[in-house]
Amino acid sequence: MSLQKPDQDANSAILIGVGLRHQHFTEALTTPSNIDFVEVHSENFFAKGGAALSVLAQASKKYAISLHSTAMGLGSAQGVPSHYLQKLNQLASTCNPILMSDHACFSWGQLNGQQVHAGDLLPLAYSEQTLMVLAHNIDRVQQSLGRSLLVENLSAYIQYSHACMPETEFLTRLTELTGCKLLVDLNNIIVTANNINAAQPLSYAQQWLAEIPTDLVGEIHLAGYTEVNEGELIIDDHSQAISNQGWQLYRYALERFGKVPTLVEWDNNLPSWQTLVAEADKARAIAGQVFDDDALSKINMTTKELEGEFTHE
Amino acid sequence: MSNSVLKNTSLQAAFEIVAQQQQTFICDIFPSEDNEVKNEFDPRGMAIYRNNLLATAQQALAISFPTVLVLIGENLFHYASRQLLISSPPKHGDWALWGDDFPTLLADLAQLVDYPFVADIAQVDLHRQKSMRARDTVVDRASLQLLATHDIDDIYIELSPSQFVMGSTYPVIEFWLSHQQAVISDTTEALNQSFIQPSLDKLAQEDFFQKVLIYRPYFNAEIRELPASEFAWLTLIKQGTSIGKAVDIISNNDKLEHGFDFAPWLGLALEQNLISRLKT
Repeated sequence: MSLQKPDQDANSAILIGVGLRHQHFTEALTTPSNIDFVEVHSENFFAKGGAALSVLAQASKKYAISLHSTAMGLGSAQGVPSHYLQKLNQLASTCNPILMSDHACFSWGQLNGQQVHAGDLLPLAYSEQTLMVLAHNIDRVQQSLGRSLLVENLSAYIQYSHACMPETEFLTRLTELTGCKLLVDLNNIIVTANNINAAQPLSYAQQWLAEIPTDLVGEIHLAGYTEVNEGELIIDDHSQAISNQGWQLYRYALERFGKVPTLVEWDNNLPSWQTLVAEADKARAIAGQVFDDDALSKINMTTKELEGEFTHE
Repeated sequence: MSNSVLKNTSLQAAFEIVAQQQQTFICDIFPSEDNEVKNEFDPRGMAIYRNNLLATAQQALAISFPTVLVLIGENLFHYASRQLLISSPPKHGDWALWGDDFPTLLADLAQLVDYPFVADIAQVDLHRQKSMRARDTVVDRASLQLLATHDIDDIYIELSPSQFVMGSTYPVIEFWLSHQQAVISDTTEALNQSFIQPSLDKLAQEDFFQKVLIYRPYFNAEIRELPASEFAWLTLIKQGTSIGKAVDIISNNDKLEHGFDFAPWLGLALEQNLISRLKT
């Protein structure tokens, strides 16, 4: 089974995308931009018909599509229900996505003897048993889809006392067991670093990336979060522009992992489409610097402006 | 035991251990009558998961039931959302499919005892949402040829999956229309003329029962009142009665003041995308 993804050899350009949300449908379809691909949340297109599917069909003519699921609950001991997989398969067959992903989390459980979906990305305990469950479910999903998945790291709001390995080891072993690759969400690492009171969040995040083998990353997510007061936990709300730390970590990630497809996520407090595209342009410019290609010539951002992004730390 | 048996046993044990851990977590984040959370975790983190669940549930219901939100206000809507999480937790992994039990919950809500029509408005919202997510259909025009080749007693109608019929003892169409974004900014006089007076007139009728059709000509779901004869017609067609037999039944029904004429109805049905095809 091979991941259906774009060529990443040294001569190819890095693919930069943005999350496509309902409020941006019209502009995304009608405004010229440098965007290579758009990511949509799979479940928002599970309807049998209607306007959203029509928009997706139009978007897929203009952009490559990445299907990012948020409800598969890959680590659920309840398993991933067949009815969910049928819908995901159906959707994938209609939009031919270049990437398909979900999270290292669980979502399904039981209440009063009935199956329930928690509607959230719930954290996994990094134990041998959880690894077996997650790997088993991913294997089943990949068999069903006939392709590899990208699995994303979460932001942590709690820590399990019975976890027996670091997150990076857990994820690395997961790729070995299943053949999946990782979707590394840089913002999630920074959020976790802050929430566990890491002395130097950026150093923590760089170390996290350093522990991931260089050939395991299939996509990078960039996002921002709302600052909180001391003593409060940061919520991964995707409601702000990418932080300076986020951009610094992105540069480090590109240097380590190469030309990995990169997506700018912004889900709440949505900016204009132009602002979102500008964030993607910024990512492209950084990639241009890291890989010393002509990406910078495509956008109106000077090296000086880019360096300015990092001078406030 | 063979290696594969050992492996399966080990996998089964792993699933059981993890299921127990996850079950505890799920029980702790779903709202219940007893709000106290007792576990090993940072209460700030657990509060985030609980709040996320509530916020997402409220947001999902607000998308599916926008008119109910306007009618009852944010505070009561959020309370009702939490109650629905307790009584009918989501089970699909697709929030758009959650909320079938919301109208019933609203009907039983003590705070709405003086506003019994809210549950029917919720049903209108729910049907509209289902209509707009239903399979896209274009009528199979070739199937209309059956009318020229077969007796209508042997022809049946397959209705479009995006049309829904419901009834209410309240003028829900007027109530529903008066709470849409496009009209709530109208002047009091305009609202009175368009919706309030017609509603009062209808409520004054003895044994008032409004028959409602929700349908989707293109992407947006529309709503209109059904005459009694068309309501009876659609009910028979849904039950699988042939065209000829349904026409006979309605013609012989003395309670229906206005008769039913199939030919003009077919034109309207094509215009409003009410039917998928004819079949034998």
